Amino acid sequence: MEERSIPSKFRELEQLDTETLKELIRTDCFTEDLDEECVRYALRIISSRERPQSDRTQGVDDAWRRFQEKYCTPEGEGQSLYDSTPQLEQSEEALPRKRYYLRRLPRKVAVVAAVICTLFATMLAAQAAGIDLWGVIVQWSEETFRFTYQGDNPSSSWMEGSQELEGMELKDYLPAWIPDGYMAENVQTYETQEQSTAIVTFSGENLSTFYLRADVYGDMEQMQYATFEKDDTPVQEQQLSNGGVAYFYTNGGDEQSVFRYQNVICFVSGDISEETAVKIYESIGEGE
Amino acid sequence: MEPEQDRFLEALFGGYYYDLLSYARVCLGSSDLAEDMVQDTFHEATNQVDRLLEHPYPSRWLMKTLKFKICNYTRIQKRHRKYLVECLDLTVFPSEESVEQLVLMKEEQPLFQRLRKVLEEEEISFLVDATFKNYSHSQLAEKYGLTVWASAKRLSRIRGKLLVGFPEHRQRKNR
Repeated sequence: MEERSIPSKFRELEQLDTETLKELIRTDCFTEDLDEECVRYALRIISSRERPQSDRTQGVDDAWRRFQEKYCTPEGEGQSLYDSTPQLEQSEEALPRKRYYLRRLPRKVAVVAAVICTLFATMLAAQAAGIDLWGVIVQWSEETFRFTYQGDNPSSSWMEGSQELEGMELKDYLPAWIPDGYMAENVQTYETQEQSTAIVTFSGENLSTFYLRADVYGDMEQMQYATFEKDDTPVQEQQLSNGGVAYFYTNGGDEQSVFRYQNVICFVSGDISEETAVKIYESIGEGE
Repeated sequence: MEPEQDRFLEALFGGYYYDLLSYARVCLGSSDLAEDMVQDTFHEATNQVDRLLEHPYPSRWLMKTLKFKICNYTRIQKRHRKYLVECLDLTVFPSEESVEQLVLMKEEQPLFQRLRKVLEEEEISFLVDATFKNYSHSQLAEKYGLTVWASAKRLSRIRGKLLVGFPEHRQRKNR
């Protein structure tokens, strides 16, 4: 590439040291857009100081070859390695959804559910008559997404030791349906003072793994301390046929979903379409 | 791709590769990451070549796309590093030189043992390379015998497993 003389308005750039020029470039990238020409000439100056001109042509040829061999392959068609937010004139298009062929439910989920029920029996809450237990609203900002409890303050009488616990069992919060070919490969459980968590790994031969996590809250007030990170795209809300609500949002470009059903928050994550996630969420509570 | 589109892209590549590479190097501080991101920018151009052929300023589109990639990467990488530091119960962000030693020191500790239940050993190594050593997908692909696209998918899958396995760090508690 031939040398071009620098326009007089940018001559002062030549007086700056390399580190200052680099700081200018970083400002353009991370803080505010600077004059395009100015940035271009700053780059030229940096390059001329750091790399000899004679390398460039060969370097470009080698780079083009690498591009053809490693990046511009059928495997990468329609994909990106690094996320780029909407371009100059792009409107809000939906990303292409992955489609999976949906079939029937295997029986192993029931076995898994029985195991978890035993583990979580002490965390289940009694439903007291006359109290709005499910007075939860959702709030989101540009950065986060959370549930806020709006009902009466649930008292510790929910968990009185001498009282036999009644009401929903945990199996009612697990899906009655998962895509065909999948099995529950692994179950992990955690307990904290506020909640109990079950994480079920579903896998199948030649199928992508996905995960279901259910957080059961013994105290509705604790649900509002759960905050989910999101980016500044809007949250999509969908009422489901089982009375629960599913929320779809993105975080750092990754699609996420959250499902709230009474005192349980569920997540399905992994390489799974929104449609499939909805079907899974909708099957929660079918065992009631 | 049509021959005209091919010629257009090659001309664009020849004309702007070095400017974009210099820009990315300055912003990222890594030649490998810069190359990866610039190549990915041109790859994205192949996905939108029809639009670019009509675009009055394709070089601006390239630069803007690259900037978005750099900014998103920087922001997301910071979040992932913080998240992994919390998962490993480290008190400082390890430098590239110290990360192996720090990870080795954590081997016997409960949180690391828990990490081992969630991820395979090679997955932990992959994640540490991507998150603490800032390896590009090209570097990861070379080290682990993958294509760059398989590397991206693997990283996404590993991070998904981590988010599920460490729920207390996924949810920020506002108290």
